[in-house]
Amino acid sequence: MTENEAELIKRAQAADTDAFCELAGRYERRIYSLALHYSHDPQDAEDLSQEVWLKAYQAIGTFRGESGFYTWIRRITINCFLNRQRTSLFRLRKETGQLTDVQAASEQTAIPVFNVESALNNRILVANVMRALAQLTPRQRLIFLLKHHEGMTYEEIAAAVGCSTGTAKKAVARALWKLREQLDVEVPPAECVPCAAGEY
Amino acid sequence: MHNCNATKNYLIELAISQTDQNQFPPAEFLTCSTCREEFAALRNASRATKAAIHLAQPAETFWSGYHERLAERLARDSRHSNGWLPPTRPDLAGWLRRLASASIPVPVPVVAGLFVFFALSILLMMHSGQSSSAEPILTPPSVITKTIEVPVVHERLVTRVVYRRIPAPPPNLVSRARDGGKNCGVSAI
Repeated sequence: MTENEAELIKRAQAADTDAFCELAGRYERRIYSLALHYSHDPQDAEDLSQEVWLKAYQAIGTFRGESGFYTWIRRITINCFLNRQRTSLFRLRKETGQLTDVQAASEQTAIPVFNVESALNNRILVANVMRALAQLTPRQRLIFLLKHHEGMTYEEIAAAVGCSTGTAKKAVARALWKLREQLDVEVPPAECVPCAAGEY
Repeated sequence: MHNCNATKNYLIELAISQTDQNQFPPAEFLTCSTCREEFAALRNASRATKAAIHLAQPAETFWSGYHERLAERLARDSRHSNGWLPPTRPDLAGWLRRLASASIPVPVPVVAGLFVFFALSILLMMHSGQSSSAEPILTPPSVITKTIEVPVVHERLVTRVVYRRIPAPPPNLVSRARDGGKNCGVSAI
């Protein structure tokens, strides 16, 4: 935690909204990105991520600085996701509007359009990844994102999500197989050259 | 001996951790062509996912609007709740209210088990009540041994030696005693 960040936290704890907004500005993209891939709906992602910041604002007084600010925010994010998972409204939206949401999400992205063909390929890739993630249960998706996107260890994930390490490992494996299946990944010949040449 | 199934989890871990690096797994895994292909496919899937996550980020124009909306929401929320408030000391009434409205998640099998247990115990109680009222059981007379304390009059034998003064005999009786009673008869005759 930098000195500036510690100062901002102190000010936010004294109910300074501007200081809290500045803090939020530092991590809002990461939180939004997690929410987007968890909910695969831009509107839900915005609602979810803003809910995270509201909860964090209400609880900022309890932040004691024992962990990093982002670790603390991530914990709130995971709890928000898990709570949202239990509400039926969210689930209903997920079941009815998956594909259109995915398409809308891929259209609103920052994919550069210098080359039309590559832009299209990128959009297809994003849509495929989102579709593969959508096939997982919300819990599996969250575990995979925490491992793959956030780089958390299985022990950290198990503690945060409230499952065993084995369950976390299985969820990651399932997600990766699903992604492999969905993306129809072909092994480029270059990958196997060193092995085929007997280097290994 | 190499076992592909045993290395599956290791390959996944390796594929995720090596997404950004052009490294190869240990030689042990690359001796098996199946594992090698599996690893390459998983790593490519992982890389593609990472790229897609990066590409799915909204455009820069989105963020200013997002931040404004968030600031607005925070300001609205802070007006309502006045920001963070330190936790107040819980009073007894509040604590009791919380206790009364508290709920704990109980697994369904436990509830079902408890329900069956109570139902069975009620049935057993009812059954035992019916059977006791239907045919009164004659209990055999029982002998109760009880030790009670009874006051007993103890008899006491006391040996007492009484010394009695014997009065002196008359003088004629003394003389007679001296002559051995020889003249008793004569004199009497």
